[in-house]
Amino acid sequence: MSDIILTQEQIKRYARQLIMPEIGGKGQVKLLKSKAIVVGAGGLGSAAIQYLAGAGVGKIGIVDGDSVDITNLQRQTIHAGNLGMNKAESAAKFVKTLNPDVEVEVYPENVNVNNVRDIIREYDVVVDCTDNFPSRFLLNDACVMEKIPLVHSAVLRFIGEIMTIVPDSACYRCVFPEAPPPGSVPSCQEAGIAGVATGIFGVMQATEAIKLILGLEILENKMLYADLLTMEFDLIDIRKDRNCPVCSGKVKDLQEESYVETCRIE
Amino acid sequence: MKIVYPIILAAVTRKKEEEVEFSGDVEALINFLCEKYKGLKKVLYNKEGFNKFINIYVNNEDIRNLNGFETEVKANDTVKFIPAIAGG
Repeated sequence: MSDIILTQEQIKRYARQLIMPEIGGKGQVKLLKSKAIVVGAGGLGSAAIQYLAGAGVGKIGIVDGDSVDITNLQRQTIHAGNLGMNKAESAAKFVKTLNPDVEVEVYPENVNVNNVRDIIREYDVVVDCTDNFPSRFLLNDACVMEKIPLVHSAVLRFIGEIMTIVPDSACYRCVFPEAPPPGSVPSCQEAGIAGVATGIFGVMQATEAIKLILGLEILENKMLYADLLTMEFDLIDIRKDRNCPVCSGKVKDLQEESYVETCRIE
Repeated sequence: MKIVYPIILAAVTRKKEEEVEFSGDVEALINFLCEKYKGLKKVLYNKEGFNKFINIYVNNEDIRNLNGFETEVKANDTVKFIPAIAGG
């Protein structure tokens, strides 16, 4: 672990966290040697990426096939000044300006059954900042199969949920075995999203990823569910479903038909 | 007992939460609420049964880890319905 020696500039850059017992020099080296991939550079992703980069996560992968639209800027502040640019490229530009220590890998595409396992394989942690059920189930299943930790979060209006899935813990499918049929739960486009909700939960995702890299306590087998209107935060125990088709090991490969409609795996 | 409704149920109940006087199991509670709010059943059930994208928590414990739909609920309990959401 100690083959990286912090430079004088890095000692200054990370001074506020180097003095913390939870991070220190050893933790900083761990962060600089770690690789995190953020899938989706929208509301959650914009917030998560900023703090992963600030903390000095050594390599950050950014996956997004969309381009920046004016309706995004109410919450996706990382993309300021980049209208029309691919979101992964735009986010990478921010990271490079903020912290030259961070290597950024841009994937200007969306994840699918054919590319997801190859994309995530080299990373230590995957941060799910996508905005649709098929991508969320796909990332869960791919991470379980590849044994890569996944930090999940999803938001709607003032509501949000977050949980961290690690090998052998309960997975997303243990909590929600199926997605709602299209049209039964409104999307952010239909029901709205408070910009602050994506900010808060995206930063919490970065917190989870950083703690995971440092070996600190994470939301394993726990889901934090919060209503930011009432500021009620519930920490819910979640349990592994022995019949879960994915984390029980029954299903070993991703199949195209598992990521349509309700994302059910028979 | 306190019942907390998520956005998709609040669209029917027109409230985010309420206090109800009820004792019995979760299944009976759902029937009671479906009687009270026309249209609730359509959101909670599909033709195969209770929707698998909606979880029910009694005092923050998933009923699947308790007694399922036969979990008894009483006066001071909080029952929350939490559906899967996907926004990001």
